Amino acid sequence: MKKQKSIKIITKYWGEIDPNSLESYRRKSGYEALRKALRQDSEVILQEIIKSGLRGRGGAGFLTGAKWQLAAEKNSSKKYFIANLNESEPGVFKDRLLAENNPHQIVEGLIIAAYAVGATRAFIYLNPCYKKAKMLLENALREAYEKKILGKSVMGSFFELEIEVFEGAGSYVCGEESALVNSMEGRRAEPRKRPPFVCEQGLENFPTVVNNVETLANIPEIILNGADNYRHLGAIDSPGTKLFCIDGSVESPGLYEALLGVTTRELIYDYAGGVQRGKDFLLAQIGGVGGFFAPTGLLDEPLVYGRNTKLALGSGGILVLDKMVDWKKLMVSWMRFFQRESCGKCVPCREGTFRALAILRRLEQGDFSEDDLKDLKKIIWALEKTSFCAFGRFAANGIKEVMRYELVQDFKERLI
Amino acid sequence: MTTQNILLHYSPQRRNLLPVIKEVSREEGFVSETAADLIAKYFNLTRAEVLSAATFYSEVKTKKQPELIIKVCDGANCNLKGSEETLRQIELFLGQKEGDEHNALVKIERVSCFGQCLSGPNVQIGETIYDKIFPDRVIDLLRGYLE
Ligand SMILES: Cc1cc2nc3c(=O)[nH]c(=O)nc-3n(C[C@H](O)[C@H](O)[C@H](O)COP(=O)(O)O)c2cc1C
Ligand code: SF4
Ligand code: FES
Repeated sequence: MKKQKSIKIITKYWGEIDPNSLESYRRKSGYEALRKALRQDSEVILQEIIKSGLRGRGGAGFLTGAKWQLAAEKNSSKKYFIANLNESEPGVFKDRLLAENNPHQIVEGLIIAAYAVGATRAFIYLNPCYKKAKMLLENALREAYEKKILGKSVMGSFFELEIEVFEGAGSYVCGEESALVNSMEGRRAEPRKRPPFVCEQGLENFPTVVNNVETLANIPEIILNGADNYRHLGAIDSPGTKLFCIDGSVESPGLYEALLGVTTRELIYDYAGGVQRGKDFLLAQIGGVGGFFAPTGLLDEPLVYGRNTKLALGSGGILVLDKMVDWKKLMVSWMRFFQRESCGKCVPCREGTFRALAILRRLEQGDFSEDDLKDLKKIIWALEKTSFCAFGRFAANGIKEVMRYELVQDFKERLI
Repeated sequence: MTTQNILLHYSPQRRNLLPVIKEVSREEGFVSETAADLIAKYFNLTRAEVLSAATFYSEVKTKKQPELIIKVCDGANCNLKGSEETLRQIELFLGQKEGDEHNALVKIERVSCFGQCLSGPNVQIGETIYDKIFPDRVIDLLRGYLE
């Protein structure tokens, strides 16, 4: 249990703060980081975030400072900042809990972020299922306007900022930043070709930075206690803490905050109470429905963002599976998800998820042929190599992992 | 509210298009071609532009919907907790399959994730999301709605 007592940045005041009250947030040094930031040049804040080494918590772990710099350097009459709270990955609910427990931490991070890149309009793009989060965020914004923390003169400075909540319309792909921008413009939420990146040319063609809300919730800490301090938390090249949503065959499923670099074994045993009594651990799937597998041999791999990792973290979902898991049923459920949520823009994903689902259904019903296996492999290849956006790769990955670890007898037998 | 009335609350900039079609869909049950034409005219777009957006989103409907929609979460976490069995019970009880559109009163849908995964299987009936809906609980819950 020792790790649980370690450093917390995001969940530090959960339960202590009344999420309905700005005053309550203020009593825990709320908006002190913003006050400090506004006393300095926006360039200094940008440099501080670059120096912190903060990486995005929305999935890819992109360097936040580098992304901000691209937008900050753009000469433009208008810039936008968007906090991404579309969260719709099965098994992931961290952003919802963040908004429900400490909405002002998101708002404060977003204001500082907008200041650093020179944006004067910002949005919180919200998953429409999240009714309670909506109410609390809108209340937080209203209070911030009343206290002149938002509006024409943020905390009495020359900086002007408006923030509003923009409710999405129920689509997983909307969370991809260029699809998100399309949906805000009233178009189909299909990803755009890049370059140009949305941070250069996004909403209404203005530079638009999109960050996950957990990323933004780290900003006040970095400004208050300094980038040097932050840089030394967690892992080298992947600093800070991360929210993990742990579910499946563990004693205490839940949301836990741990330093990056934590191992899956630590998360299961030190945080989530260990493998459920009476269950035989098989593996943990890291990073949601398209995630990689951590069997016993990979349990001590540190979980970090960045290139050199065997277990891409994604948005932090961890599903612990025991030996009783029905793989065929689970794969069908995955593929139904990918088929339902595919935006339909590109053929490999639109057709591939559809065909793969039909094949996996046959597998589930015991009617799986040699040709099916060949076709499935071709589809997996096409999804992985030729899809327009990362969604296609996610759709392929789980099935590939099942094949790699030979978890389904039919996949093995047909190979001979 | 009628489509005309809804439009009065928004300025005709593209950023308001999705909020408008969502509200029209919610208030009138779906976005009809007539409504799409009104919206298109207001935003200075074509009907095709409005409908291509409207048909994309699961929260926006372009066909008349049954009165009651039952959404069963099919996310991996709910699935592992038994949402398939819950869905089977609902299908058996109502005598119709997920996705069937012949019944003007009820429709059953599978959805991706409500973000309430720890307390699955989750089922949304009308506007309310219910948690821990195991097969043995679902019939009583449905009876309350159907009577
Ligand atoms: C299919 C798809 C879905 C995504 N969904 C989300 C999401 O729900 N929330 C999110 O923050 N990022 C999501 N992302 C990542 C975003 O594109 C983007 O990288 C992220 O919001 C950037 O924020 P960050 O740099 O703070 O991580 C998704 C990406 C893809 C390809
Ligand atoms: S990979 Fe799938 S989600 Fe991505 S653009 Fe192609 S169809 Fe859309
Ligand atoms: S998987 Fe069902 S609510 Fe998330």
